[in-house]
Amino acid sequence: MGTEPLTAADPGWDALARTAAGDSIAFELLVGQNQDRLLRLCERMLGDVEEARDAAQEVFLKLYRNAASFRPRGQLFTLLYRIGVNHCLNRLRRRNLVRFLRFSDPGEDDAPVVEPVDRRPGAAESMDARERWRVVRQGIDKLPSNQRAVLILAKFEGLSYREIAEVLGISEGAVESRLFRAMRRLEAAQESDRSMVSPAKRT
Amino acid sequence: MNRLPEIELMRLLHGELPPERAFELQERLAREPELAEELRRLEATWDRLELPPAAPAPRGFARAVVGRAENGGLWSLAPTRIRAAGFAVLAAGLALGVGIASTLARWDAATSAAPVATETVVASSPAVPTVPAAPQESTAPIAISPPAVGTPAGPSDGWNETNASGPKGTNRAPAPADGATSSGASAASGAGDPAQVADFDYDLPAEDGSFADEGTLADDYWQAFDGTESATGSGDGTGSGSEGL
Repeated sequence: MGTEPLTAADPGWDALARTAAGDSIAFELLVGQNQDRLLRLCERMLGDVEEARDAAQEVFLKLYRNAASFRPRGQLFTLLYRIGVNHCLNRLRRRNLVRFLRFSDPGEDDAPVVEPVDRRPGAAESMDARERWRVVRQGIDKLPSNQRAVLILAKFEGLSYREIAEVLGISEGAVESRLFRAMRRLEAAQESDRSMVSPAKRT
Repeated sequence: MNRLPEIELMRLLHGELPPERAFELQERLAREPELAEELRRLEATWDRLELPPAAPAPRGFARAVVGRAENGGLWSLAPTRIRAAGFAVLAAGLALGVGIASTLARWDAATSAAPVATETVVASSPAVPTVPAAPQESTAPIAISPPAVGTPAGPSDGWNETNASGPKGTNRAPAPADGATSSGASAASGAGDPAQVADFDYDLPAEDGSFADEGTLADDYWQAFDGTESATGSGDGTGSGSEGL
């Protein structure tokens, strides 16, 4: 294609520039390099694998359609995360609106399906892990969307405060403030769940 | 320290605190057990945040995305469910449109072709022979010969036999066979049998298709015709009361 690399920091920008010029192979390469982390982010944000795949596809399509309008700055994955987080937050807002219109309780649709008891070796540990995941998932789902995004980017994506601030377009102070509030909420949720699930253990 | 100590602790936990600040905070933690307990709680909450490993990207995901990007316009940005619903609405609209167009076409063809067809048919059809009008029913009374005296009785059903026993040979339902009412003509018809009267069915027509009440009109006609009181009974000539003719 003969396109000049726009930045040496991240070859992803070069792939994006070639995509804007109509190079579908460059776009496929770009998708292949970033699909796992974007799918993981969407799954953490939405809590649903199928919906996450749909969302990730749409994020890549947005990147494709607007490839010519992005200016190279920092790492490409922060741009992808930014589009992805905003897309997932929009989906969550729509989901909340649908719940509101259906007069259903928040978290009602997120109730995990009861699975049969697994009697294989290690099944008890597996059940414990699943129970922990369920509690964490419920706690995350109850967070306000801005706190949820910060927590997921910090805990599950391993981004620094500065990167989170860049992705979300907020200050680092706002990042640590939201993260701290999210931690407090999760701590309270875990405490209440422990007291409800195993009241005998308290005594 | 102008920030909340908990936020400082969180930064320390996440490795976001500068080294000199981290050193200061470590010294303070050694002196303040409440602060150390707070850090321990934050750390426990952070470590408990665990989710199952994310599902890997499905095979051909990148190829599917590229295909969707190349083949679709703005429509490709719509979520899968919305696109499926859109296709369903489009298909339903197409089916409805085809149905309406077909109906309109048929209606149009029927309205425009009807006069031509009529003219063509009329021109090519042979002359239709004139159907003579049905003769008007004569208002004059029909001369009906009364049955001869001694005409043998018709089929011996309960109706005729019973009818003969009625007053003036009327085609009415028989009275109860108590002897007093059927005594007039019981000798001529041999009727009046209580068993036969009992078997009479008021709802069934006679063999000629007439019902019980029709006999009244016939009798009235006879009376108007010759001024006599005839007892013809039913039109089958089974009536035996002909004493007036």
